[in-house]
Amino acid sequence: MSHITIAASAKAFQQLFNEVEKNFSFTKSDSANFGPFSASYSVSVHLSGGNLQLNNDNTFEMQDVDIVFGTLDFKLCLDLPGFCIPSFCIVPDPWNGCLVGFPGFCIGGPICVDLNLSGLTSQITDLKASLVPKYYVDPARLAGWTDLDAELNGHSNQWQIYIDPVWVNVALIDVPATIDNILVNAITNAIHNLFPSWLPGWAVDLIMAFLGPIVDLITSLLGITTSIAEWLSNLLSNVFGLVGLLETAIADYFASKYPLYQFEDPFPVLPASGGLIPVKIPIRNLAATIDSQEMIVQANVGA
Amino acid sequence: MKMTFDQNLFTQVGLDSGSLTMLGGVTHRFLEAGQYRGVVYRGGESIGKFYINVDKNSPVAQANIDLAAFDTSLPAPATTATGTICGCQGEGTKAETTFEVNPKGYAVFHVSAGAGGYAVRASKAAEDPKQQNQFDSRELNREDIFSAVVLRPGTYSVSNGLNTKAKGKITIGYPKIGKTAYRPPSPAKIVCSEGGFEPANVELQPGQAVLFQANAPSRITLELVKADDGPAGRPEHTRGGWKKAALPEQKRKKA
Repeated sequence: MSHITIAASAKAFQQLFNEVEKNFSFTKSDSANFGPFSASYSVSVHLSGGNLQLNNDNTFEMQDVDIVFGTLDFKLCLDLPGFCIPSFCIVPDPWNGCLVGFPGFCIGGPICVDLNLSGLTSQITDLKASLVPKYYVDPARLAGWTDLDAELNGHSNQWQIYIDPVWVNVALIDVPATIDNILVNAITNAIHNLFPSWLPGWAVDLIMAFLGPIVDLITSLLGITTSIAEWLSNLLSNVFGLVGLLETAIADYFASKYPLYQFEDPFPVLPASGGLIPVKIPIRNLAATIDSQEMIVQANVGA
Repeated sequence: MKMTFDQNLFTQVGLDSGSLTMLGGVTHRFLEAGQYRGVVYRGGESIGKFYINVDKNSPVAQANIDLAAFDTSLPAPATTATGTICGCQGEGTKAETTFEVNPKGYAVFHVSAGAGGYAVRASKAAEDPKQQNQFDSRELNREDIFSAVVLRPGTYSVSNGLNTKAKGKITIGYPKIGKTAYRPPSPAKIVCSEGGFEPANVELQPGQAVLFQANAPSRITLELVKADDGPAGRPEHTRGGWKKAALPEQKRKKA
């Protein structure tokens, strides 16, 4: 039987988890060329909320944890084919072909649009984990120090309880349908910016008429067969692999970056007072388990 | 990066078959076999020469002759892996100087870049003027074709400088953004005869070509008499600059 047993209710466990997730941060930027277009992004992410479920198999699950892209700057560059005054037939031949054609003209150029997609979200749909205790020896602790020396110098050893993920599932980035209008407006604006200032208004309207509906132009250039929102979600989530990167980063963070709970060893029972040194007891054989009601931490008092 | 197009496409409004620009070309048939010597003019100045071998054994049905290539004041043409796209060089010109075409084919004189203002004259090397079979783009005839593309919306007067009776009107509609990308309709055709233009009044869409077939001596000019600047209240073209395109706040769906 253990000498020490500490229990944390589901509510207390949720608060501990929320404290851990609050300190999660993830930043990443990348760029790639996809032939007809190139894209780049820069993101910073934090976690928020979630619903806890404690299981009897020594695990817990968190669902619907919001992944909030506090920053998501997305840049899309594409090679606008421009418009052509097509070559036209001057003298048709008797076989419905063209005997004499007048050469056409084409114009075009590369354009880039910057989209601020900050505020987009995804979710940890399911995180299943157990708990694992780790003993942390402060590397700044000198070899000749006693536990009291270590405490006085702020370098006590620690017992730490980490979340040990079994799996982490992150949903595709949720891009709202309103991105269609935002992208269309951005592309239209970028096209207008391409035009030299001397270009008369009628010529702008003519070029825009040649280009046709911008949404069709975009879907054609980018090879979009679904909606723009789905395409962008897939590009960020799967092609750039942000979902996979997030899953790995989240799992790594919980497993080793920020403990769910920690306390120093030896554990202070009575503080120093009246010229007496503090009373501390060494903790050994720490174990952290979960059942459907609570988290239980058990340990023995060592020598 | 700005779009790369020639400013002249949008700033040159009128057209003149005797002073060709990017928006106008002339097609001529050299019906008699033989070698023709051509001279390219900008204004009244000769800027280059070329030869056309009209050979009934030639498989070439169309010889495209870019008059801008003779203009040494314009930038050099694009190069290919084997050198410039020009074949034969001579006296500083960047243009190919020898062409061939079948007598049943056509020579198309056009302008690929620049401000234009070119004319061309070609004739056989013969002492007898009757045998010279002379062609001058400033005086079209014998079913020569002046092909014109009018971009600027508005109403144009059409006249024949060699026939005061010939008067006409061309109206170019204002462009509209439709459900599909706009493409100009097929060219319209106007016959220039002793009696004038037939038809005399034509309505075109922007960028739609109009072909003037010269059945009588012709020098066709199009002059803008009334511009169409589109629907009232349309915004002026200005640079949009940078604008933050932030997403609206998302509300998560509740399961």
